[in-house]
Amino acid sequence: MNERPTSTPHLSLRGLRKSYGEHVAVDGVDLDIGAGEFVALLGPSGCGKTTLLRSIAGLVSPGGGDILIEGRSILGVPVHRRDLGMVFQSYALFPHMTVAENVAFGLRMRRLPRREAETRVARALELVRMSGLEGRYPHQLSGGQQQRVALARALVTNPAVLLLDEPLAALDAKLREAMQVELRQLQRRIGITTIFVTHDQHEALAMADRVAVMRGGRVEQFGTPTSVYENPETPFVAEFIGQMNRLSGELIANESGVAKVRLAGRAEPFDARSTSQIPPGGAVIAMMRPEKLELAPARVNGHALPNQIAAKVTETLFSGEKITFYLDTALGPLIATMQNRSTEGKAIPQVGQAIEIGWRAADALIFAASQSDR
Amino acid sequence: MSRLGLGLSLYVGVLTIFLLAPVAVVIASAFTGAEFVTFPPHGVSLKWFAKVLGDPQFVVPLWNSLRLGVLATLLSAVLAIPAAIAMVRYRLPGADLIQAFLLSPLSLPTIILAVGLLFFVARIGIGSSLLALVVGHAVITVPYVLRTVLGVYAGINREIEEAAMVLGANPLRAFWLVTLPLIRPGILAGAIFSFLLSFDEVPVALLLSNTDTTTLPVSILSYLVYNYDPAVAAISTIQIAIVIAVLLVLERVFGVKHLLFTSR
Repeated sequence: MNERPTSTPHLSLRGLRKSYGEHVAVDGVDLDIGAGEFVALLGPSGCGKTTLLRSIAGLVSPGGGDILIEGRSILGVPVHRRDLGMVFQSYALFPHMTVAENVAFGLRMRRLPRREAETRVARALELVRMSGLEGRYPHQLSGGQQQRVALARALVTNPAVLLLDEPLAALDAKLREAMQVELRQLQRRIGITTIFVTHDQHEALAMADRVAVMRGGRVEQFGTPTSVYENPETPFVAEFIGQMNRLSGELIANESGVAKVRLAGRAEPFDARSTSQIPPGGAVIAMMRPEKLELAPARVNGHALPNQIAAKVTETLFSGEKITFYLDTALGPLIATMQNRSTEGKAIPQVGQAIEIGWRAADALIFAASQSDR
Repeated sequence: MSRLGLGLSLYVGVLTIFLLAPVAVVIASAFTGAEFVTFPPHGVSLKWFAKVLGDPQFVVPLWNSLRLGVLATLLSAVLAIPAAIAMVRYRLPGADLIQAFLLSPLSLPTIILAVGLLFFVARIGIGSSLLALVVGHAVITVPYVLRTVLGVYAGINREIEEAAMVLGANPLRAFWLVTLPLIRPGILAGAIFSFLLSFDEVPVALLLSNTDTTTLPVSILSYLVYNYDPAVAAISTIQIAIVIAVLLVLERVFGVKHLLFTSR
């Protein structure tokens, strides 16, 4: 199911479960996370990702399963002895303490000598580029600064694992992007095993070594950003990450690495990426990413594009780096995108224009229709 | 802030006079040189202050009242703070009912409460002791402390306490170092209400006190039954001064104005 970068997992979840009354928040999760790895838990709200993170922190006691750090169960260890670092969505800085007191709190709990504590606080603040603001109170800081203090406070104790609960969600778009880069660089430099909860697929893909896509309390897929994006294992993963065109049809044959699919309302079958999991004759859903559709002017001689069909542009949406085309085709409405590169004589299709589109077999994914109902 | 209109200024002025006039009359009459309460006072003298401060029938109840106010406030804080925390943080079954129950003394006339308490304390054998008074006053003051602490605590992000625990604070240290400082405004506001309520409460004190534990309001009341000299005005002025002093000190130390009027 996944590729493992390291030999022994640093943090392992085994069949973890948690329910609140009737509602099952986490439904049997198994994950192995390597030392120094940056893992994103990605999913829509209510998928159990935050409950999972809080279980690791010890703020939620799971109803079943186990959590292991370096092979030892930590379930019996109370929150305050787990020795983990956590950054909360609200940052949760202590409002009655200065920046320095906030960062020193964990060291104070560990009864570190004052001298040493001061040195480490200074170093942690330097790490997050907040030196010089030691005497400020949280309400005197901007959101981004509070975020850095929260991070310094979580890292200063050299925790075994760093837990991040949507730490960037409250920042505005520009700052957020800058913090993504900064956080990732910092994490790489320290080499701390990190678990990052987010509902933002871009953030997960951009930052994580591996992404665990969650849904309904389960992990649907756990893999590198590339594999989750290019080779989604379930229709949910395919549609949750990025955009997808979705077509219904029937699998006719699976031969020499190419699947033949007949779409509803079309006599001629088209080629898709082959799969061993669906028997011929089964109802399937075909999915293609908008950026993988190729566009060409109408009346191209012969079949210039693979799987070529005619389309009419019904709407275009210009969003700077790319252009999105809403198309009307014999297969139904489709979406295609085009990078906004210098067009070199190739005209950008206009609304109302008739064009041809096509896709390579490997770019059309197919799933059993029954799989998508779950 | 915009300026008040003429009509509103007039209204505020009249209201202020209406509220302060009785207090002004009492304070002014305390400084009279005459043998009876008059307004405006005849001459200026401190003799009535000298009289009441040298008179055990006022001084002893004054100390009783101060002690009672402090003890009742401490007891209600000890009862109300954990109750408020439990009600906000844990999903207690029937939390609403418990809260309604703890706030219920607010809706009961104190004299009814006093009569009930009279039988109750006699029955459990603490009779008319200081303990009975402290318990009786705590019944009245618990709702106030509970309300103010609940209000402040409910507004505090739970993640702050969780952050303390993740950072290595056991539950006790998390409470002491994080929760308590954060809810201190609520505790102080509640404690002030509680002390002031106890300090001038009559019905419960009237029924539950004995000759050794008589409170100041009760002794003023019984003095008034037979006398109408400015001694009452003098001791009342002292009582007012104590209340103002308490408020001023707390204002200096903690910013009470802020506590009482801006925290929920």
